Amino acid sequence: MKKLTAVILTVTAVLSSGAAVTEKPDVYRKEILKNRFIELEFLPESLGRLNQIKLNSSGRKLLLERTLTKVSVDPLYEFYRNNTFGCGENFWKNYVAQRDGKSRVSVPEDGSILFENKWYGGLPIDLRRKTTLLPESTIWLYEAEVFNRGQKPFYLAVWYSLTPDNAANTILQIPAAGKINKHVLGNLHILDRDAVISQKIGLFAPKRNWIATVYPDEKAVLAIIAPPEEFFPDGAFYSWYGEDNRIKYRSMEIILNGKNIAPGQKTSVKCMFAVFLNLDGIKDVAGVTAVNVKKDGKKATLILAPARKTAAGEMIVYSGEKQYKVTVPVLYPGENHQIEIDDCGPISGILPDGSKFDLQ
Amino acid sequence: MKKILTIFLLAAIPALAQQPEFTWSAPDKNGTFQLKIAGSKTLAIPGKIRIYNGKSKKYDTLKLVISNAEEIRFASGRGDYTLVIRPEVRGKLLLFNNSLSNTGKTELFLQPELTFEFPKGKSDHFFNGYETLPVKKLPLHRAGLKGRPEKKLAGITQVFPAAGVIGKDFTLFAGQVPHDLVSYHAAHLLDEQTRYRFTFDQRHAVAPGQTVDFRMIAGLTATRYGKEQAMIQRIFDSFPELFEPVVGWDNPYIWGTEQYLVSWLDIPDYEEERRYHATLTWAFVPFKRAGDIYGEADLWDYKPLRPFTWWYNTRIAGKVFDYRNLAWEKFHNQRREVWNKYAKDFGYAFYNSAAGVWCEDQLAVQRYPDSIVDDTDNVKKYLSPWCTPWDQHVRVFSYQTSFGDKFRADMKKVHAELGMPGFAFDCVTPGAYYRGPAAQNPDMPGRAWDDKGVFVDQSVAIIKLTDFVHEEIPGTFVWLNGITGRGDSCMLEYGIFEDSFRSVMPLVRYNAGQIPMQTRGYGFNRFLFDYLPDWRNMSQKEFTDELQKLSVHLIFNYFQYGLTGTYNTANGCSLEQYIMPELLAVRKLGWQAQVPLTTASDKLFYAARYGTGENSIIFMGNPYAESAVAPAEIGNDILGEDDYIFIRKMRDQASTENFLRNRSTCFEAQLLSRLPVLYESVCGLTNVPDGGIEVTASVQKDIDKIVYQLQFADNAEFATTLRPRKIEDFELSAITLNGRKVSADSLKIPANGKITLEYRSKYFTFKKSDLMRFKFTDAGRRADFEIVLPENANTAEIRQAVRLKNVFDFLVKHHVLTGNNIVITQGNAAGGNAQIVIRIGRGDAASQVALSGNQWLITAPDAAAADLLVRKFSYVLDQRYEYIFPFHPRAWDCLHPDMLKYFDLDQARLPLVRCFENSSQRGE
Repeated sequence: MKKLTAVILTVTAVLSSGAAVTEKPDVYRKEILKNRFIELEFLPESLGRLNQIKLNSSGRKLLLERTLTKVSVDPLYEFYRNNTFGCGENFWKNYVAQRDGKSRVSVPEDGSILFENKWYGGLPIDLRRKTTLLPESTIWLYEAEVFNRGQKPFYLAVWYSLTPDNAANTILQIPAAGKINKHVLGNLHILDRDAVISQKIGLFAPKRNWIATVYPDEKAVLAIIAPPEEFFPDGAFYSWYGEDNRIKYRSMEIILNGKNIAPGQKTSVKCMFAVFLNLDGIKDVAGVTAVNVKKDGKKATLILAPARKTAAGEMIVYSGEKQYKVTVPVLYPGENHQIEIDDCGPISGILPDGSKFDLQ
Repeated sequence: MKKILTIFLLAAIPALAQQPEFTWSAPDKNGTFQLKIAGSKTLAIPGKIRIYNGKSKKYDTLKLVISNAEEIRFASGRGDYTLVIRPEVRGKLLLFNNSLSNTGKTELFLQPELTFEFPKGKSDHFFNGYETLPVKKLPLHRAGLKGRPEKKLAGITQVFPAAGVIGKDFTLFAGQVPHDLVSYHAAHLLDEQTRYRFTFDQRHAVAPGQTVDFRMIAGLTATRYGKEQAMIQRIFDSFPELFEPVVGWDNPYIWGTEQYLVSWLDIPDYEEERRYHATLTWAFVPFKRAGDIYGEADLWDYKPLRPFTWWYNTRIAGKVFDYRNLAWEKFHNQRREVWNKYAKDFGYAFYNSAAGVWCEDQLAVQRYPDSIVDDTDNVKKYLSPWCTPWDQHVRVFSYQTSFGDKFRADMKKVHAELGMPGFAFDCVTPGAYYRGPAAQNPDMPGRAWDDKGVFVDQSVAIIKLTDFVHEEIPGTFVWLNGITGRGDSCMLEYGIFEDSFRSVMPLVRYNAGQIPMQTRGYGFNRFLFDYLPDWRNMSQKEFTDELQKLSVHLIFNYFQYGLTGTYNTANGCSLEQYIMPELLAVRKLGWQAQVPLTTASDKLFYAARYGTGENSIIFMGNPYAESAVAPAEIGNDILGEDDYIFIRKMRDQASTENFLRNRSTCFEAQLLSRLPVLYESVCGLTNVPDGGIEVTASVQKDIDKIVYQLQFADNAEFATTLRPRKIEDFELSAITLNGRKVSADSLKIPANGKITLEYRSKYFTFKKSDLMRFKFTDAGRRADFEIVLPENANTAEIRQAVRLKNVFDFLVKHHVLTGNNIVITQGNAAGGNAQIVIRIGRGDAASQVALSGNQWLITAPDAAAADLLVRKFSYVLDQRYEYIFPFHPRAWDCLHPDMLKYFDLDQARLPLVRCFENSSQRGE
């Protein structure tokens, strides 16, 4: 008791009742894939999500990144909070944008990186995604293989999302279809006519198979380009606007066709991403080439911006009822080609590689 | 005129048993007064009462008219109103009873203010009624009744009706009396060079010829044991009657757990609910149309906004209330049947259109247009869909309106017909401004003003409605979902894992005071998918280790805030089920804001206090992986007027060495890793010698008897009065000093003196060892005894016989026992076998269970007493045959079936550490 008395006299700590929650910023481990044009940063602890796209020429980073905060309510209840950013496989009806998870990572020697997750995002699926940054290009491909290891059919509608940095100085471009009243995803914006959406948020039926964000100050356009067969007729665009740490963001999101995977079965999904350099607007994407047009009265300047080397050849341009044949040289990312058209009407065309564009 | 009064001059007021820590002067001719603390840290706070005029946008000049011992009366400079101030000491603070009388010809918009100057310090804080902010950038303002003005969570952030500036040594606070009918109040902290300007104000619209009474409070206290906790505790201590259940501490329904809609949607199971300690049920939407809670014949047939549909709560207690084809007569017959059968056994609380806040839109437009609330102050005017998904609902005001009159009549009508033990008041939050015709009635209480004119906050109507229940339907409990009004129980509709929970606690607890609280949020189901997204890549042990930690986190928060919330997290979590008796017991002592605990350990993360004085219990929670033993010091002056001896609160036995000196008690606290630890006060001593005393407290607890021993050390003899703690269900039967019976008053305790406090059970006269020896079963572990009732047994006897049989049926169903040979006989018993004899209403005055040989005798004077007794006896039987529910879910939001299956956990339980037991006397 004497000892207790002595110790008591030295008591200093006063308890303030109630748990003191602490929040500390943390970081994800990163994996890099790069070529001479761009550098892609992935998060192997967050289901292999794409976290950042850096343009080597300027150092400009195109995305708002996934942030991580360790929240400790007490030593029994600690968790990590993120802002849901980063581009991995998310799914309509199975929202896993908040969920992290460690991937098995392998880097084959073909300029790709492989992320593999069992029970991806806590779902009854395994997911293996190969991301390939094509050489001499600003294009990267997602090729995902999904295996249903559950006991029930799994509804797979893959949902890709990028969050450009930032909404205050970028322009979203959603080529949305009008007059569509019914859609498998529901809750669509019903538009009177086809339109390019820049400000609205929510779900939109697609008119084209791409969604893009223009970075006017950088003269760059970031696009997600879905294979048409993966996207029509049930796919959709989605965009959300908000603020994160006082930075405004407007997401560019694409939801592919949904399909059921039977238990024990697997399926694959592809999607392409591209940055078009030296370009400050976009009207369509034809294959690997972004097409923009600038009109001045009846004159129009057509701009072709490839995301990888394209071969020389002859292209066809339709302008109203007129048709032009134009020779196009070999093009490289950032080395765009301009074509002047007089007395122009609605413009469409076919590039030398056979891909089509329509600027109406 | 200036006269300095001290608290001692006012000692004639009975409420002064507790005294504030400050002296004060009454307001002078300028309305100026002073709060002062003398001593080594002297502090003098100038204060003033002033009136801001909402029409002239200036402070009014006030002229002193009368000043005497009872009141100080001022007249406004323009002569259009008078202000009367009647200050008094109330408990530990200063209470200003005031009146504003309009003597002019136009309505007045007045804002009475209490304003103070407070010296600046280096690390001051401001409690604005909602949150405690470090004072970095001034000014700081909080206006209106909502802590957070935006839509989300706005209502539940109802501010505590006081604010304060918290300095290093002292806290100055001001506010109003809780539950007073005031529609607008505000708190401000401004920068005035070396001092702060701290102001608390209210707004009142006063019609010509009208007098508005209003009350304000102020106090000065030491900043100790936290920040705002000291001022909250002073207010708790000063108005205890405003923070306790109106229906009283003995109401049989409010102190148990609630199990969401389990006993409401399906046919309820009494024995199962008992094992979850459930006593009250949120009887959700027992009507077809919001605003017509009775179900009037002339309102029955109407065309809803959307077609009537099947919905989850169109099944009540297993009966179908399908409004697509339900006739009026059948509705009433079925509803009566359900309530007659189950309401009293399961504590049904009638859900009555929220708290008269919502009415079906067409009904409101047609019958109650004067009641519709148009200015919703950022909260919704319409809800669609809501509790009846076929309707649109509009916000209404239920006091002095046509809706209010009918609604009150309906509440009486449904109560007369259904006899429910309680009302469930949903959506009890402030934040909608009623400006309709009744708000213009000068007699409407709580009329406030803003730029748009006169309004009354919906909280005024809610407070009046809770008062209506207590006054007009006495004994009926009011169960709040929210914190507006005089509730008897309070639900917080957020789960402990949610960010929202942490953002509104302890604010909600401050408002709830000492009434029981429940948390109702998401359980493990959805939460675990996000918290452990990679769960399928975990082993069973990794998974259950995480569950164990989360379960302890829940338990610590239950104890921290006096909450229960078990229906979706308890199954499989053995400790959560094990601690429930202690959790319920401490919660019933009344949660307190200020925990006067100091410890040298960094392992103490959670601490809470329940009860006051000699009935105090301190909870300690160590969430770390390592246990610790740490010196702890209790500040007795915060607990009450005496010095208190503490002992670890255990179910069987304990011993704790205490050292008492200088109004504090020191002992070594056992901070057990990830287990709740409770210390209870054994008794208070009115006098402790200056040099202090050493005393070892020990206890032996049994079913029939609790004996505390206080072994004093070699202290000099001292005189004191001893105040023994109260123990529920026990009576203090004897106090002895060194073996001789003594009175608790005027004791002289010699050196090495030994005091014994012996308590006897009010209900049970047998020991746990008797219980453990009794042969309830045969050799094959089949329940094998006879329940014997008198010839022509009455309903109560049969009811209790069936309940006791169900205790054993449950054990058989859950494989604790192998079978059941229980026979219920009336008249002559078969004899030979073990027996439980039940006699109810047969002249026995006491409720009692006694054991003689192989026969239990249960006697009770009436049916209600028998209900209570047999329930208590059933919990005693649980000690013999313990049952912990496994993970198998009882509700949709328990552990997800995929997880149960993946880890094979359906019948598993987390390991249990019996943290409230020292002995090894276990059940089977």
